[in-house]
Amino acid sequence: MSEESKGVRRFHLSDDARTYFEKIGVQRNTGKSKSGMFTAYVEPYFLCMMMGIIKDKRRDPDPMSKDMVSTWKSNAKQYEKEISGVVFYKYCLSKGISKEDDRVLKLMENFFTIDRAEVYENEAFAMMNKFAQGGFDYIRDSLGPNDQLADFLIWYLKELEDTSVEG
Amino acid sequence: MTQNNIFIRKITWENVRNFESLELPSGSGKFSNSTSLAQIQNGYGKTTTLYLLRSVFSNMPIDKNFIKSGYRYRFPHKKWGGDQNSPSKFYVEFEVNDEFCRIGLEIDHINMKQKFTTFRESLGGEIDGWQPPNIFRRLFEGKDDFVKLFVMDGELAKELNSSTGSAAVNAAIKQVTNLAGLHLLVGSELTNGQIHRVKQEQLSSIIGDGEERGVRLQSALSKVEELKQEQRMRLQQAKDHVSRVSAEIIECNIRKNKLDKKISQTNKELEKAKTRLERSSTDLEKTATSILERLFQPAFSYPEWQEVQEFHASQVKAKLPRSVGRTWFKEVLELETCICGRSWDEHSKEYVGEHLEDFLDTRLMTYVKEMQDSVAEHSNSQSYGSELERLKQKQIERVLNSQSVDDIRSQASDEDRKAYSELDQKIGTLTTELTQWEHLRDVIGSEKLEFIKEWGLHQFVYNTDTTVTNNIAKIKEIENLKGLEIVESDIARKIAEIGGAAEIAKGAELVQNVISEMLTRVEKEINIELEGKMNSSISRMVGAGQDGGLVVKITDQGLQYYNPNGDLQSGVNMAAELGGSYAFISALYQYAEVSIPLVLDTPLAGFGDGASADWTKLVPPTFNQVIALINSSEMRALKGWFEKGNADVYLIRRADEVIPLGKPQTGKMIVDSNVDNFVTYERDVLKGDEE
Repeated sequence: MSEESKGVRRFHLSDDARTYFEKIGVQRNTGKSKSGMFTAYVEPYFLCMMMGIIKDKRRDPDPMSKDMVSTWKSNAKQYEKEISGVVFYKYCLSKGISKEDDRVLKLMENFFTIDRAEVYENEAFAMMNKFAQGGFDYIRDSLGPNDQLADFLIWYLKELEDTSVEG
Repeated sequence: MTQNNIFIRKITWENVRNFESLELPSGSGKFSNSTSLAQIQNGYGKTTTLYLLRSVFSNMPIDKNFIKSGYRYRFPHKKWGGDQNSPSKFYVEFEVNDEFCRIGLEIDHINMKQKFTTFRESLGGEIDGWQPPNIFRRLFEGKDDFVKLFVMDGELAKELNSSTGSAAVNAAIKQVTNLAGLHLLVGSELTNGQIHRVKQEQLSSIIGDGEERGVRLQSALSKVEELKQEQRMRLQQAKDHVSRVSAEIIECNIRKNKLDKKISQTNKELEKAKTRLERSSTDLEKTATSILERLFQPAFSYPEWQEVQEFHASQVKAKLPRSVGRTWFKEVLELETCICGRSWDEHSKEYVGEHLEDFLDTRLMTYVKEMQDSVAEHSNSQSYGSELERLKQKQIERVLNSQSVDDIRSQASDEDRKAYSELDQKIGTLTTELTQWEHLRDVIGSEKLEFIKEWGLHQFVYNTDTTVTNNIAKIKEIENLKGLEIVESDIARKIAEIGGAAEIAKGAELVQNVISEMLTRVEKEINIELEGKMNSSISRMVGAGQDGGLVVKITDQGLQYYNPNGDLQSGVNMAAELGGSYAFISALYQYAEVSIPLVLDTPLAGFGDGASADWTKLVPPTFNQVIALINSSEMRALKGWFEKGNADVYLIRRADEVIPLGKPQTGKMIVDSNVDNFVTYERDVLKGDEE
């Protein structure tokens, strides 16, 4: 069994990341933001994961003492298929596949569950959770302490813009 | 009253011990409805035959420990027609209420298997299995103790009069009267019956060790109720605090508004500036929220979205899952027109039929197909610059409007500015406090599963195996009322189960007691009836009844004899004992309303040769058919009787034997019906013994 096939089948947002985003406000932890807040922890998780993917930052996640969901919820729910499209694409790239290849069928079986109540297999969660941790590290190091959603979004958009220009 | 009749007409051995192949009686002969004596030299297979007969009667296979060698043909050569490696076969031909029936038992020593066979016209010939007529099945199936009484060795007849034989007596009564099943239910003691066993197996896991589990659960339930009460109080307190703090915040804001009004009297711009600030704050929040929502759309937030689309476009996107796709294609081919609207022609149908597999894939999951379609549908919509500008603009507007309000307020008196500052600080402190109280309120009162999961509120509700905890130490850690209700409901269910199980257990004990008492009464009645039938037989017999006037009773010490004065006779003569035993068997026959052959192995063994005269007076007249397997010593004792034509006689011996010697034991085993040979068999051996 590979390292990635171990682990739990759920999203993993470390305690440090939770605390960081609670300063803006998540769910009922209203934080200090005067420009809105996150409606669920899966939202900052997604933004961290995408930042990790974009910046290619990943590492084993730090501890998490609270539980997390295992499917995309809240604002991320309606884009579940497209998000899967990105993470699976990234997964294939990590296996050295970037175009039509019969091996993709095998990778699909490793990545997606056949149980329609769930979406991802352990390997998928392992990859996403590593990117989420890498992305959070990058956010905290680059943006620093922050309690305003608008400031966070401005920084985030700027990062996307820079990456887009660099690309 | 219907009397059922069962007779044995023939016994056949094939490769059984000393018997290569033997029919008794031989050829077309049959056992008569009277007494048959079959003289067989000791060691030739009388006891083996007895066991096989018992199996054939009772449908109980022979002990598997004896399959390998116990019944196997003895001689390692085939000189006389036997084969050591062939299965041993034993057949008994019956006449059951005039119907012919043959039951066989075949023992395969090599493969360690055995099987019964049955021949009946109504079955269409011979079949595997034990399938005698119903009356036979009802009387004998599984009733080995009863069968032992009429397929009996001489020793047992003697034992019936002793305490060692009492078990056989009582077991036979239970089987003949069909009460054995009820005895199995209640057992001989309170703890070894099936009712007790089922009660233990099915209910003990629920009831637990005595009442201990119920007490533990009751204690846990009380604790849960106590904790629920505490948490309800805490919830109410949290709600009260939320109301109080909210009211205080409102009060602070009212006071700020009052200060604003005071300033507005001198500076009319303040109200306008506050309205602008409020509007710009709302705008900023809306803009931030809409941008946040867009970020979850990968076509917007992932700069390399086009590569993702190209990647998925290059994969097997045109294929359908094979599990559903093949059926779909076939259905389309059966339509009059294709889904494109054109009529099918043979060529098109043939082409699709031949190539449909190209569009199917076994491993392609439905989800992946949906994902690929979704990726293809969402084209790149990256406009970071414009969104950045929009958000920055709204942020600047809000900052400017906020500064504008602050500037106007800063024109207030020192006293009012100080009041503003204090109110702002207080609102900040109260807001933090409000958040804490609201959180506590939700921790205790929330039923929203996502919130409960996010905050791990039910981590102490469940054990690691996902069962609900009943552990008080863990229960104490639960704050969420919904969690406590789950635990409460689980414990209440378990207590109800125990209550239900306890009621069932009490019911089972009651059933056990009722059956037990009923058995005692019924068996007492049956014993009286059997004793009546026995004593009716004995009164016609010599020795016990006619001569001694004794009365026999069925007791725990076996059959016991009483004189006319009702005194127990501890030492009765042999004739009395013999009479008692056979009268008991006869009584059982009468009770079962059946006439069954009595098969005896060395019948005088238990009583000694001296009992022969009594035996001939007692046994043959009492039973319709008697088949006795005797040795030459018993033959001699019965000689005067059977020579008068009172019995059919058969000598089973080896062909080469010299009759008076019973030797040499060579040649094929045969049935010799010559009476002279029967009388003189082993004469010289017996003479030698006497000398």
